[in-house]
Amino acid sequence: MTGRIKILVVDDELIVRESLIGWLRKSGYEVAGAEGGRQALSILAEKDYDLVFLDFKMPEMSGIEVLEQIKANYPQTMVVLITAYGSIQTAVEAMKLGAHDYLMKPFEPEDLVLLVEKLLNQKKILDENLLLREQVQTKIRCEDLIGASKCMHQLFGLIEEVARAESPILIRGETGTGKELVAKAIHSRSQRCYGPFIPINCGAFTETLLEGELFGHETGAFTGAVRAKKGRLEMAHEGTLFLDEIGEIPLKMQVDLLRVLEQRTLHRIGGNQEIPVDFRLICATHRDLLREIERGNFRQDFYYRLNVIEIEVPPLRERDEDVPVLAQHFAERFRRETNKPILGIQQPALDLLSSYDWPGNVRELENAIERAVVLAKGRYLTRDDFAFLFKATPAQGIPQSLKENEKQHIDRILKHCKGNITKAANVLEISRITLHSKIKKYGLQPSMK
Amino acid sequence: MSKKTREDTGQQPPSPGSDPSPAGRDAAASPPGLPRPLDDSKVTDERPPRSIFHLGLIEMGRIGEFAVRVVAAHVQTLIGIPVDILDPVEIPEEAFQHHRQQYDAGLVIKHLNERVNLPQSRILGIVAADLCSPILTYVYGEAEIGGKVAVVSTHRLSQNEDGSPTARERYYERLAKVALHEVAHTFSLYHCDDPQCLMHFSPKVVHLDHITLAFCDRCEFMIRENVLQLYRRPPVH
Repeated sequence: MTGRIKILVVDDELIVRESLIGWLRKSGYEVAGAEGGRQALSILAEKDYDLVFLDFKMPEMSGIEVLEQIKANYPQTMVVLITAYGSIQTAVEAMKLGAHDYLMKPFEPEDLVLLVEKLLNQKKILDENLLLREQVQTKIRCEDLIGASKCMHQLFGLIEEVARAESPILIRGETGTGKELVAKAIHSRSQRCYGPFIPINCGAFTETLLEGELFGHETGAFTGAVRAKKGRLEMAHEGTLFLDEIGEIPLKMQVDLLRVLEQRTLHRIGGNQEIPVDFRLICATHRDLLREIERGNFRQDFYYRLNVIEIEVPPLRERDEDVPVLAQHFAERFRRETNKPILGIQQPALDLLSSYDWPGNVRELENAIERAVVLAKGRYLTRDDFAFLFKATPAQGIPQSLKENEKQHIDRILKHCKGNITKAANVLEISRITLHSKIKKYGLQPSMK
Repeated sequence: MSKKTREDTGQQPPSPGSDPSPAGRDAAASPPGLPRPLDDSKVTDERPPRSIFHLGLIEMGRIGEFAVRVVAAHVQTLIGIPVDILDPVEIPEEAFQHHRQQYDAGLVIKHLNERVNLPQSRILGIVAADLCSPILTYVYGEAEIGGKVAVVSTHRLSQNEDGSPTARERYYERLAKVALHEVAHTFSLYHCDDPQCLMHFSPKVVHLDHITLAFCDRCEFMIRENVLQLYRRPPVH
């Protein structure tokens, strides 16, 4: 429940509606009224309400029908059914369908005040629960940020140090090194840990979508904007905003973001209202932003605004002593998730994993362990369970000659083309005669399947 | 409707000790800290009449003069607006709800708004009858937020929760609290979370007895600001 508490009164009797609205307004709530079910549902579609007072008997749609719609589409909204024709049966029916309480018109003043207080307290607790659940999940995910290497110990120390500050942070590192985990760890150790952690991958949206996602929009701002929507910047109020792949943000939006960072206010798309925002900014990128500035793809002023503190997350190949620790950690996690009786990873398998380059970093290791756990036959993960790492990319295994490489490549293309020489020659961009001579030279058997 | 002040009616000020309320003071005097309302003798065509800055207090049914003066004195002191005690009127019969045997407070307000043409910027009706609203089984009072008219009922204030009669002092105190609460609503004050504040919602007399006869600091500030607004921008009639 953020800001003023919003209550909707749905009753076809004008005098009752106005009377209840008047009383609720005197208590400082933001109140709207609807004369029927359809109007109520269209009001709810535009704005979130904390509490709805819903008349049981209405001409076009009954209170029960409206209640079902509200519970299906707005489960966080609390509903109180009101009626002048009450009975125990209707009360029981309403409560079964998810109404939070039931009042008979006219109400005792004390009943009304106690009910509103009780429901709004419940709503507050529910909202707090949701927030805590999200925070717990954030903390659990932070467990994945583990490592025994010297560089990781330095990173942990740096996280503790910078978490207390409010300055913007730029996290640099290759794809899959765990930049978001570092951002979450900083958030969970900061003074804003009770606020939200709002991540967004800037590289995953087109320019128009990204703008809407970041700044939100008002109803009717563009075709399809049937309902006002908060942007990520607004959602991160009093918390931390994590902009992943910041190097992908278009230049125009860099200016818009810079303005928000300077003025600490924003306007939703299609809105005139200035909305104050207070968040800590953490950005991440795998790009060399200084080079991007030279190329004209990134604004220098924006870069200096973001890069007050820089954190470098090392790639996994530079901390191969962490591979066994991470591998055991992931194996344990996936054993729990899949409920498979895996007791651990054999030492030769760990040695094999440590010798691998991990171009996809920790994310690749995580995926490899998940695959191995899911397909494992024994109680321990063995070298054989990780053979796929080397089979999929033979060039990364034992070094081999150009001749051997050519032989394997032609063989793979022939198999792909099911032995069709013309097709294979086209793919390889050589003549059919040349392909025949190479098949003969390497002793290959074109498969006809 | 004529304005009935103590001087107009030839009443003598009560002797010390016989009148515990501060209503003995000139009911139209300007409260301390506020601009003095315009003197009628200096009124020009451009200036609004003095009564436009006042609250008109109307007895509707038999309330008793002392109760009316208690309310006038408290409104003048705590709200900071001069009070004119007006001639009594009957409670409108169209507000009577036969099926509930009560008067609809909203309809009484509507009557005072539409039928009774008064120059005062605020009107407070005090009724002896039991009041209700379409959604509440009873109300001690009712007012429009930021509106002109408020109404209070004495009906339920003279008894305790257990049905025993209330001491007169307690009754007057309750009446003053309800009147101040409702008049403050006309100055755009909402219900207050402070359980001691006059603007805290009191569904029962036991709650009324629990709150103090004072506004909390925040409501006090709001009421002063909004009363000052009245002098800065007088209502147009």
